[in-house]
Amino acid sequence: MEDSDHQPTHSGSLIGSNDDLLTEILLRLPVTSILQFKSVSKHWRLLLRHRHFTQRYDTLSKSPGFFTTDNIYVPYDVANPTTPLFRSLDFYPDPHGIRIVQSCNGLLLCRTYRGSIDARKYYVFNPTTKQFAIVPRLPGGYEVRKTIRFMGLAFHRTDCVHYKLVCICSLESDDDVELFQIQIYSSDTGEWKICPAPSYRNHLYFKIDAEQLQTLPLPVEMTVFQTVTMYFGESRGHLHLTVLVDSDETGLHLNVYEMLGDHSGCMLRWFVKYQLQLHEICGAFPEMTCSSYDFDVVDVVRGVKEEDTFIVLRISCKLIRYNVHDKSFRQMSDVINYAFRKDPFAHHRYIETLAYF
Amino acid sequence: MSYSKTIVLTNYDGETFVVDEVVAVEPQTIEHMIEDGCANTSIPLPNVTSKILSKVIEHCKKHVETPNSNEKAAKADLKSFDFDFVKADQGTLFDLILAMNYLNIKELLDLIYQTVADMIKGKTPEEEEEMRRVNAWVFSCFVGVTCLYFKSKKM
Repeated sequence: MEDSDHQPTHSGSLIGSNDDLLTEILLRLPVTSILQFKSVSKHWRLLLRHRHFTQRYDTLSKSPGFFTTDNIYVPYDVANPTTPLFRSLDFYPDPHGIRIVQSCNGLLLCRTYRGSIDARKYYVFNPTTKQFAIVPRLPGGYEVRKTIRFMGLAFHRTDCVHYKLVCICSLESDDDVELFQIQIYSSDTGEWKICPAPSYRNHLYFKIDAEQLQTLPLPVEMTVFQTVTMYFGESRGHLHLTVLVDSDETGLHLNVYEMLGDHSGCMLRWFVKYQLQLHEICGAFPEMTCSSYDFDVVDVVRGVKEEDTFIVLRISCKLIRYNVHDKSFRQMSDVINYAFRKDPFAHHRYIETLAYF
Repeated sequence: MSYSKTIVLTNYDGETFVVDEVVAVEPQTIEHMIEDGCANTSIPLPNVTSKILSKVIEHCKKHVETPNSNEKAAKADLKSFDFDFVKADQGTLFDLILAMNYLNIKELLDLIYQTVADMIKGKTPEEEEEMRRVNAWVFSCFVGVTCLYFKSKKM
């Protein structure tokens, strides 16, 4: 920074007192500078924390990598690797350690790692701003908490500053049909609430704002051909489903579907967004012989521009980044631990967000 | 493209600039002034100094003269021109932001904002003392407070 001959200028103070112009400059700063410049002045602190600013900033925010369940960080771009703003989950002194459960638009849902059910806490943590909250316990005591089957975080930074948690507990029932109960926690009210208990069926999704279960449409290929579901997840507001399809006509291939929704957010149908022939992968990576397909789809990451979209694949011990635009493969990592190989869904995207909840 | 008609711009110092109309209407503010008929003889631009105005005219000229094509060479030429254009000291960039914002020239503003942001972001200070110094320096840039202690230290 060249400062020795710096003279404060009249135009500088004009820009400094014009929030619109100042915002335009501050929006172009990296997130580390934003966090640092909050202590420049009271005015800047208010400006940088304001939702008008954080929302605009977050629409340009980056997802530079992901965490594995044992908190190991893997950057997406090997050529320009970035270090995340946090290295360990030591935001709260939990004696049993903390692990990530899920990542949602920049917020992480974390949980006590070891220890009994009674000692188990859930946390919501923003790794960028280091803000965290301890989620109040699910009411009903040990008897209810031991039946928790799923805990998920829902956070949409443009809609609302609050997040919601969805908890699915199994209920005891007389016949063979397993029944579930859904409870929702909202950071707005700070309370858990029971949703009407539905009976269990396959292919359902829970619409959070309506607090209802709805039927998830399936791609037509899944009813016609032999298929294996490889990946299900969201990126930049697009919902993706990746399915391995074995058809006589086109051979073994991966279909990456995108969900077409209506204005109210109801899911209408899947359409094929990208397709990847398996012999393309076999050609690039001979270790994946066509007799044993030792691979997983780890992530589908959409870029701001279409040419920046890529799919992360795990092929034997390697992590591979496949660019959908130019169909190129690039190795991200060649050391993958056993836990990750066993559970490829256990990866948690790291997204920079300035959101406060 | 006809270059017959010229427009006279009068700046803050009372200096006049004679500019071809095609160049003068590049800034949206001037285009609207001409459209509204309030610019028959000369257009007053009281907020802009002659140094900045001549830079702005230089920029508009270059963008008008470069053929509007998808040709790679022309695009690259314009890009390198813009890149050199923003190689200026902070004071000039601040003046340019105010002028471009007043004249409503959007395409270059983006690059200037980014250049100023790159100037102030610097490196990430590890030490708290260093962080305070950087913050005070940034504060003085935008608030106009002379801070002799911080000025004497090289950052």
